[in-house]
Amino acid sequence: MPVRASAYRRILRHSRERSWWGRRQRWGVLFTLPVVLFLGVFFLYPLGQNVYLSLTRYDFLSPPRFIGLANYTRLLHDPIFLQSLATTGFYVVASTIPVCVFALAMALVLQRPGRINGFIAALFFLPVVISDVVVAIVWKFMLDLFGPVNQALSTVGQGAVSWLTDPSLVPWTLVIITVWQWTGWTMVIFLAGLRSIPRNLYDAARVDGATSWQMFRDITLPLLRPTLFFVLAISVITSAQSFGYQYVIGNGTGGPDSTTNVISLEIYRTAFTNLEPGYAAAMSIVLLLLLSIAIAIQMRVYPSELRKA
Amino acid sequence: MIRRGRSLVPRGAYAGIVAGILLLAFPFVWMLSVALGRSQDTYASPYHWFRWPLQFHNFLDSLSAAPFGRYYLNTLLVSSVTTAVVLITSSLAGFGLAKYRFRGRRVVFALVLASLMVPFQTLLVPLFLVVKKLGWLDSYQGLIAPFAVQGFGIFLMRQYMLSLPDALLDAARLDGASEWRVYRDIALPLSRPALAALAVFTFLDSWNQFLWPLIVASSPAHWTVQVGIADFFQRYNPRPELLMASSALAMLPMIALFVALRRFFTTSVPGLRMSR
Repeated sequence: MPVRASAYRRILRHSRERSWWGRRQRWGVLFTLPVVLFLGVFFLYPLGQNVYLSLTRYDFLSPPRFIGLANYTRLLHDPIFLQSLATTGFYVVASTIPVCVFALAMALVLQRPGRINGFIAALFFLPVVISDVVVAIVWKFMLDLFGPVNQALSTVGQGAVSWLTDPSLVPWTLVIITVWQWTGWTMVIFLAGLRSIPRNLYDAARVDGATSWQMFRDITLPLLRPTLFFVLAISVITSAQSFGYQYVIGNGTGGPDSTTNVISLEIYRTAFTNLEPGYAAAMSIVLLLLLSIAIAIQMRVYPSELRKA
Repeated sequence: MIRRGRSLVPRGAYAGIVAGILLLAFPFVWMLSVALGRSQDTYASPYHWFRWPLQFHNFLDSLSAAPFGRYYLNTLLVSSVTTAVVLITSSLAGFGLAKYRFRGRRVVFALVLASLMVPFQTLLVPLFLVVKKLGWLDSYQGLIAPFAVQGFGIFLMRQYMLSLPDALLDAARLDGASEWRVYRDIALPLSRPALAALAVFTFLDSWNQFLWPLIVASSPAHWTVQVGIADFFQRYNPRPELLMASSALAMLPMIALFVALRRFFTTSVPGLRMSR
């Protein structure tokens, strides 16, 4: 006997009955409440207070004194701040490009699933688990004037290089350290992206007579775009906030001639060494704005990729 | 169809991989060699790798030159508690966001995403002031508090829990389970893979934190390993063998974790670092 439609409607009406349904959904509020409260106290409130502080003169001791946009106008003409923006910008670009290029190249080589490839990938990933402070300490000793790197350079006739004290080289030293530590992590992400490309696309292309280069350009690259977008976004956000490397290499001073004075270090020093937290707050708001613009640009270029990621 | 057998990759590329491995390993090997050597041999030219006799005592000396035992304990405590709290808060919020439709849900999710986008430096000073007002400066709570809720964790748990079949949850409800029990006895056990991955990422990230502990932990009694070794570095700069020894020891816990739990690091998307 066919079930009567009215029976269905009765059951549905009962289970979707407003009070029972609504009451259950409200549990969602309960589950998310701790997080919302926490984010209110440790995220929204500090964010708001930071905006407020950026409009004041403050020294941690006496109450903040409102000075309007004076901090921001001071920033616009502050050579040290502008220099730190340039240093950070250089670091972000100069470290992201080699990392992505090497990581992608190695991921392409290692993309076939297998025990050996998996083991090699894990090996490359290893430096990521070390803290940036320890990485920088080891490299600082390695790049000493009499260290192994310079000794190796001497044997090939180049001669020792002042990796740590020559202001024109220090930015590249930071890049080298970054590439050493982060290529593996980026490679693992690319590997995941490469492995999600269906093999039969390559088979079909091969049947059509495509060369390796054509397959790379027309299959691999386009299908890797979401992954690429993700990697670029993460790289920009994290490298803009880089602190540990620069603190160690420059001994916390901002390095030879401000070459390690990235924005993160500059904010830290302004707030806690120079005791000008209001000014530092303004700097951090500028950083927030710049990062937001960078993310917005990337979302413009790859709007569909954001939805996939 | 006959397989051509032409690999996508030129054979010479493997040489690049080998070169990469050698470049990668070099700092590790040098660090160990210096750690097991004497001060004066560090920059000797020509360099003797692992010069006999090996100075194993350097490791012990480095541990006693600064209160590293205390640093390790502090870091272990902070990282463990942070991880536990993050697991709880992330799974609670992730469950709420994934399996319920309530007013303001989108706002909450937007809030979570926003917390991921804002750089830590923008919260640095006011967080310091908040922690100060709570009386948590130079304390374990102060070290843990800002990281107790992590947008990344919530995001991860929500993504995973979205895939849990609603039918299963409804079946539990029909059997009379309260929403809390649905969470605790159904959703949570089913989310073990995501929880495990999150635990690993959070622990690692917490262990390697530097900027925040540098600011909050003013007395050496509360220093974490990273702050301790940075301070050690500034004081013992001319003694490379001690520094390399303590660096090696500082790396060891995370390397051991990685070796033991490798799949959590490399199979799911590697966690976002909160700082670099």
